[in-house]
Amino acid sequence: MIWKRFSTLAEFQRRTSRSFLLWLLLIFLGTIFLHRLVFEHLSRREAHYQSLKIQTSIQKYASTLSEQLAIIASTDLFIDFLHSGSATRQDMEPNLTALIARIRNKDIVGVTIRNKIKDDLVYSFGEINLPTKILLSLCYLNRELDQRYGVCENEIAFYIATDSISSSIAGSDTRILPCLANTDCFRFNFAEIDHFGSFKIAKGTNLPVLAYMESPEVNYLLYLFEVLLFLALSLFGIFYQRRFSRFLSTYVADPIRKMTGQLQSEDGRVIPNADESDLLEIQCLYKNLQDWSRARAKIGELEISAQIGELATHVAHDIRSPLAVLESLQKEIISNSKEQGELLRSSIRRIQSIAEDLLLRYREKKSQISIHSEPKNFNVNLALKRLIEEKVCSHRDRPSVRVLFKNCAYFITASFSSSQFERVVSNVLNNAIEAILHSGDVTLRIKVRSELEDIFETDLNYFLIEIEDNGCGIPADKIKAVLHNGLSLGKEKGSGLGLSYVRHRIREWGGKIEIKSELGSGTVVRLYLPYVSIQESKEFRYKKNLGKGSLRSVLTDRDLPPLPWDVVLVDDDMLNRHNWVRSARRNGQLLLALSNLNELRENLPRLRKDINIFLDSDLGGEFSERGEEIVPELINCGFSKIFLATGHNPEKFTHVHGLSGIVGKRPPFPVSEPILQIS
Amino acid sequence: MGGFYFREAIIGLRLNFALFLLAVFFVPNIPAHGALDFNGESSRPTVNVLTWWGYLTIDGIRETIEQSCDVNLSFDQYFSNSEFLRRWRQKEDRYDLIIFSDTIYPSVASGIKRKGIVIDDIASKYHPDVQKKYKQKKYPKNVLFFIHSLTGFLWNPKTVSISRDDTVEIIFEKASGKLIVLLDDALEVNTLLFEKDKNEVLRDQRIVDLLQSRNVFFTNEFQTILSKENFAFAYSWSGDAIAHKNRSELKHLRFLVHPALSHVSTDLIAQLKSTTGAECVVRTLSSEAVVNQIAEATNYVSPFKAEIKPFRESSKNGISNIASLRWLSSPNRDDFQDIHARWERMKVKFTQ
Repeated sequence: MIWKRFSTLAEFQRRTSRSFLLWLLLIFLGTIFLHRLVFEHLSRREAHYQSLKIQTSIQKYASTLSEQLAIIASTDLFIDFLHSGSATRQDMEPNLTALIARIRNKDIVGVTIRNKIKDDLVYSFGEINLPTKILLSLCYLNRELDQRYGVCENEIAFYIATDSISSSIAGSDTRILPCLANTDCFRFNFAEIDHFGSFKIAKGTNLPVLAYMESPEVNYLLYLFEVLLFLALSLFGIFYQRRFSRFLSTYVADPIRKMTGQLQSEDGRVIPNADESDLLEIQCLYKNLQDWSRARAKIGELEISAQIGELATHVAHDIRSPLAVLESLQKEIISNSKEQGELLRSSIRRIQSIAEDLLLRYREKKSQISIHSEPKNFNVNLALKRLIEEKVCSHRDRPSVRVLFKNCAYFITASFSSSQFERVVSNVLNNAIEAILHSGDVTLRIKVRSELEDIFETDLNYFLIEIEDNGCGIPADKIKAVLHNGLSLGKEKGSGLGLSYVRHRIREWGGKIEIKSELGSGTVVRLYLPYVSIQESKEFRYKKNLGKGSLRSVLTDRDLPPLPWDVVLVDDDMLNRHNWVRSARRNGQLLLALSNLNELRENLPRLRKDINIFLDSDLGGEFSERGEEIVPELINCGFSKIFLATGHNPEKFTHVHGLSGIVGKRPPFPVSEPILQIS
Repeated sequence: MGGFYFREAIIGLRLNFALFLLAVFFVPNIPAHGALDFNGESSRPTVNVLTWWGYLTIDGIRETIEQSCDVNLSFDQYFSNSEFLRRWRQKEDRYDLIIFSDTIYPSVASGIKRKGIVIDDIASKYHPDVQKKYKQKKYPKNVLFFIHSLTGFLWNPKTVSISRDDTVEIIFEKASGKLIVLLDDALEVNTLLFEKDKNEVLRDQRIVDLLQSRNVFFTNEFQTILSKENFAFAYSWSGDAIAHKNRSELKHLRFLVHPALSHVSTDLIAQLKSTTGAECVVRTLSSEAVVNQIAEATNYVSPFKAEIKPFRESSKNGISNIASLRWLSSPNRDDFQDIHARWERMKVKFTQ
């Protein structure tokens, strides 16, 4: 609406010039105001200074007179005179007069001494009829002047002419002058104060002093400063006025000129009502903006609805796997083993977590549905182990498909939703399993950043989950569609959401997904994901500052200090372990004796890769482990000297690949040469 | 003898005409030789007196004397014995009569003895007990008792409480940190503080014990000090004490005539010149009527009555006659000089 006030550009410029003149006027007035302010302040200070100066002169005058009087009033002559009768006083009076005359003050024209108690005028000298006088109490204690404790029976009065004292006070400073007519005088009366030097001023005192002080010369420097200030402000104003004009021309006037130029006739005259058209145009733009805002709000609502639908679809998709487990277990549940019961509970937990996740999102976001869930630290290894057990169980109807877990990085903690993570990996595993038509292996590996340095050019630490299958593979031209567009391949009921969801989640967590596939040979899916700092994790037993900002936490071959062991034995027989330990010690070697494979897994990151590992075959225990089962895992982690320490026939283990040899239960030290070398 | 604040103490008191006639009646030998000169000014002789301050400023006394004796009375006042001695020695021959303390009589005895001046007939009218004392003193015939005083404690019940059983030490201890006034008289204070200490070392130690770290004023002009909030007590003469006590703002003060510490002191009057005016003034001032009137006005004790005005505290003690109290003894000249010198040193050392 502001443009309506300026019907033409010329008017706008005219008004701008007016405002500039107004601005200059304001500066001028401001300078005058400043001048007055400074002047008044200085005047007040000067007046205060003059007042102090005159008061100081008065005090000096009083002090001088008081000191002289004190000397005289302390003499025996003076005191005896006060205490004497008329006869004695008559004798003393000439001496007293001479004494008082020693007060060198030309202003004193008369002196009287009066006994207040008897109202007796005991002494008088000079002119004593002046109305202007100062009366001082004479207080004595033990014949000494004492204003505090003394007895004040007498008063001495000095009669002084006002003009005279004003001149005397003025004489103390060349700038103080007696008050003249029509002069703004400083007025002071001794009757207003209590003390005159060291004497008390008595009632009846009336001694006005009129004086004034010459004002200082005009401070031309101040005026010069004010003129310079005005000039500076004016130049400042001109400078900014020009800048402002340029700004207005560039951003306001020129665009308006262009707009209105279209409305001008050829001869340059403005078409009538042109400004109304401009206004209409602006109104139209405003209306469009409002419509756009409304449309955007509507789109937002639609997006929310779409997200709800997407979420529901994902839930339905994710819930399929655990439901399949439940379905397969349902038939066997009566004769169920302990292991099956555990799987059943695990599946139920997953379904519950999905449901809770869904509920949490609705609870937290009322107006917007977010697919983010609360991050929570979790152990990746445990989650994957649990997931693989679930997959093995759920696909037990396909014994020809093996799911292998090759774990070389323990205690990895991630900080995103564990349920979403399990869903992501579950989707990839499902795809891998389903890609194997008849028989084959699905291998899941975990690696840490030490092996991934070239993948990301960041300081974050990543771990890799690699899922490889030797299934049918994906055509190269379909990989992108599978990831981005939700394309489903080879499944009757496939929704195509699995890998799309995986990609979405991994990107959300700051990770990366890679798919390499060869039709007919298999597919490798690599998920690169970040792991968390130690501050957020309570599960780690080992800390290491990796520098640059945060403590990173993961136990890797590179990070952990190596253990000093030379030999490892895994045997559930305690006596055998002790026998091996003693034997190793006798041969100057350190032997780590473990009772099961889990203990070995925990220590793997801290073992040298060239260490000799001896495994008992029958480990028994709760899980009835077999030592040879871990051999592939050890080889995968880089260990090469792996032996079986068993009483069984070596031929029984010919299928085990990667063994360095098979020894008996007897300690084989030194172990430089194994008993049996497998070719 | 103690001075006092007469104007405030005896407001309303006026000597009536009958008293004037009585005075004239008892002094029949005073010549009335006053006459006006041609200028109308008084040509009466002047009688010059050196007196303790306050005696002759009592309303009516001066007029009585001047009219009775037809003289102009001029009197110089002093406030301490030291001052008296200084002024006396300065202008010994100036004064027709003097009023002074009997404690300094030995110091001035040789200077005041006058042959041919006989006024001791007045002493025959003293109270018998007092008359006995007068005879024991063996003053010259130109010296009379003028008036007697009692010493005592004027104390402030707002700050201390002094009783008749208190010793000097206890009294000073009670007043610790407060204002104390001791009258400015060497013999009086010596009697109060050191009467029992003949040993000089012990006496000096006692001075320190009593006065060290105390706010002590040695003065007879203490009316301003009495008004201070932290005033404790003043050891003073009864006349001064009662006069001050009667001031409206000091009604709360109390005066104690202590049976063990208070004593009687005496002021003497001596005629030094044998003029008729001087004799008339001495006889008028020493007359029973005038002395009784002064005693009445000032709370001192007239030698004619020897009667102690009933203070509240003293009446409880049953003290009604000065004869029953100790009288301050007059030391010989040398002793007095020693006491006085010590007193001056003590004032310098402990004064406020």
